[in-house]
Amino acid sequence: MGYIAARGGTAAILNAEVLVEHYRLRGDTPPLTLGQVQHQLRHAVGRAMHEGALYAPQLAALAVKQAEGDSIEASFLLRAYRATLPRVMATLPAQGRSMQCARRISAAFRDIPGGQLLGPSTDYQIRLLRAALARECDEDIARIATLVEGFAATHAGPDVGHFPKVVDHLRAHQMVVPVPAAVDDAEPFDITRQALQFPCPRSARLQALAQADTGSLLTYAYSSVRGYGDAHPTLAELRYGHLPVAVAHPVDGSPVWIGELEATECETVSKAHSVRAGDAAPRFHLGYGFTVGQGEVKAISMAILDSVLTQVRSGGLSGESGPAADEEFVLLHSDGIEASGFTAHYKLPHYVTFEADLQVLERAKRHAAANAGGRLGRALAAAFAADALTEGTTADA
Amino acid sequence: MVPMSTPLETACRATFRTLLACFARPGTLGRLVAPPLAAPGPGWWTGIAFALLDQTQGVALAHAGRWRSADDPLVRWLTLRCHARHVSAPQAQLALLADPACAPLLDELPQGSLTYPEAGATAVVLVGTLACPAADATVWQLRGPGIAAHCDLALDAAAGAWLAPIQRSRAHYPRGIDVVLVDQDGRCAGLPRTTRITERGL
Amino acid sequence: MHELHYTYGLIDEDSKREVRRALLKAVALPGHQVPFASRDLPIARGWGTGGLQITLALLAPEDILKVIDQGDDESVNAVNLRRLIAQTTGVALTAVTADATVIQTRHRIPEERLRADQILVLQVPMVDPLRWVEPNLERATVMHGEADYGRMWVYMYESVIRAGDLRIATQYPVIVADRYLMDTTPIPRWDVPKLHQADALFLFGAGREKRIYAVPPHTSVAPLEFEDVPFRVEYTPGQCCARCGCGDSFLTSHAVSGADGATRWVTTCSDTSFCAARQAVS
Repeated sequence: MGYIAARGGTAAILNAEVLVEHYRLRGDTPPLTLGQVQHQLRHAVGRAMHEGALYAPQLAALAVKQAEGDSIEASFLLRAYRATLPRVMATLPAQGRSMQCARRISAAFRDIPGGQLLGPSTDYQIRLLRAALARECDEDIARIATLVEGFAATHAGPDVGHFPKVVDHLRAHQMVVPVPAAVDDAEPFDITRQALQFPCPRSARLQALAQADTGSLLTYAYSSVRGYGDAHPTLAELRYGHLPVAVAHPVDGSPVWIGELEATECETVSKAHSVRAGDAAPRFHLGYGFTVGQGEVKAISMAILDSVLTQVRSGGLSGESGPAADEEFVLLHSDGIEASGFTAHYKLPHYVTFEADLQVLERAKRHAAANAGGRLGRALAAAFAADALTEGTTADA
Repeated sequence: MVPMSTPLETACRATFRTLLACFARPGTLGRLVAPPLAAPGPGWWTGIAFALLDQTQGVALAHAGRWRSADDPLVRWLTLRCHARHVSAPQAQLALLADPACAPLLDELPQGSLTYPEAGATAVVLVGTLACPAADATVWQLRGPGIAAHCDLALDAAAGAWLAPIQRSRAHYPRGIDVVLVDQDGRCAGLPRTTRITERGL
Repeated sequence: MHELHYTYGLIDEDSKREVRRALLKAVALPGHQVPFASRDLPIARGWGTGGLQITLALLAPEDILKVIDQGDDESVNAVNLRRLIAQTTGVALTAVTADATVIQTRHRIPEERLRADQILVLQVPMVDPLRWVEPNLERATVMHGEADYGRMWVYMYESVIRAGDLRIATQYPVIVADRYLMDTTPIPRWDVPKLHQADALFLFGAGREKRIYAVPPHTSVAPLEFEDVPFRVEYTPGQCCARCGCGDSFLTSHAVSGADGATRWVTTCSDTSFCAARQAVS
């Protein structure tokens, strides 16, 4: 081992780690249990899982605790852990129609086969802060449990929670585009095994959207429905619940149930005029959204973007398509872990590149001064003078 | 506690480092390590298969001038242990070619596209020896990236059959096939598609 | 909850294999960007994950590793990456360039000429020089495929007209092996000639951008330049390191406090181990 100039890099990093722990704990409150995080901060846990692209509720609770509630940091911790795991096998395709639904709504029809099930939703809550939560106690927990037991008693039966899909009804009546025959047997693209290349298959798009940052998808989807685009989605169905997952038995190929995911699934249909002229029969386009956890805004945003991107490719959009219709733009900029990592990397030392920048600046200044006689030269000189005022350290450096 | 590598992981890493050094310096001889698994075929080049193959990769093997079929025992042994898929030559990312009679088969391997030239195959070619005494040798003179000016590779005479197909495989750079020559004693030499080869007369 | 265990080199073996395959293709196609899936690491994207994946796929227990950032072994990011690599591989560490078998770096190439038995791994933030003229990946990929670099030359020409010289400080674009246009990562122009006909192998990893590329030894690396506006490195006649007195190295400025408490600016070698070795000799 050679000399290493001791200038405190290592010590500073180690001290910073201690300070982070101190800031997390200095409020002198009991440590959070993972169970509390997993169950009482379930949306934070869900978001860590869908953006971290790993379904592991306990590990996600740990990540949320360790990240002190920062959603991108929590998903980053999970994503980094995922990279250390081998991919053992792929599950069989999971069908949304097999979901045990806790919630299921459609905006397209007043009544749908199976009916609307509002389930756990804040949609129609009056968003007033409830001060009583500050004094919550075991009696409150017991009271809610009793009320919910009452719901269960009136909804007993083996089929509770299993609903037909609205999209099946739409397909049966030739209202939406049929399932493309070729896709059924194709092995989906896996962006954890191959870099995205453009144009990309729809399976790659859906995978990228499913692990994207919720806020980014929301922004793109919102731009597309607000006016920078031509998306006119109708929510065919949104369902939330538990989705059974199976793998093929390695010897005989039969499906083996291995567990279930808490998940949200969404389908949107687009406005009729967006169907390409000249097609055999006008149909709605379909958009598909899926997240683990109850990530409804993300699932809807994803479905809108999927629909927009599909329509761009088929030439189905009319008018200005907007920034959200550029697949490469949307997919390459919506991963929260990549975007936040790169944005934060400007905190790293850049004094080598900055030194090189300074030399180019000096050279450009000399060039401008040499050309100061001409009209262009005068304009440039004025511009550099203004720069110099704002860059006081340049002269010192 | 620092994690440890398994013997197989160690062999894969050593094999990769040898291949990397040989691709970076074409004509330089590397030493392969045998994988810690008894292979039914020649051990040296199955080590390369372990280093490069997994479930995402397609492999093709040739012997006596023919591609081995999916039910060939060596194919089954290799694909089972490397989790790779056995594919036809035009789909292969890695090809193992066992003797000079297979030389014409090199033409069937993919060369990639102008936009994705890395899709061109890697061909592992078994030769008699890469350290042939001068009197009996076929000498190839190599030029290109990784070589200071030029260097010589002395192969057994029978290996001369590979020259023309290898030259053909790199006529449309950046498309092409990257070749690893492996001999009976575990020596190897890299001939990436950038390497220009001429046969040197004695 | 049970303890979480990690494998040697942290990333799983199949991921290492993918990086290794990409590295071999990158060496076989000097300067060409080879896509790879790029695993997420416990280091943030943009903080050296591409270089780190290459290093983790390369390292064997017998290697000796050096990690630098801005030329400095003690820079916080270098310390942090070295810590992760040491924890997961246990390799020997050094700050002495000549002792290292693998050197991972950000923004600099060491001043000492690297040997044939050394590998330099560069962390790459922006992967493609064409992004300045064509941000769309799909179209830029086709431009590389067709060696269609006309727009890049126009960009260079406009730079000369506006600034009197090639207005590129770092990431200087080069043509590798007479074929591919390549981003030199933000190394200063001072380091660009070190890539040309070198003895060592250079591997470039862009984790966020999911690309790997390479410059083999003894390979032509030509900076874009015009006959009448040649490529020039950063050099001021008479420049000199305030610590070791070297007149022939890349210098950076920093503030020092004098005995009187006053702050002044000095320029010193950015390659700190090179500078320290020179000070030790003199």
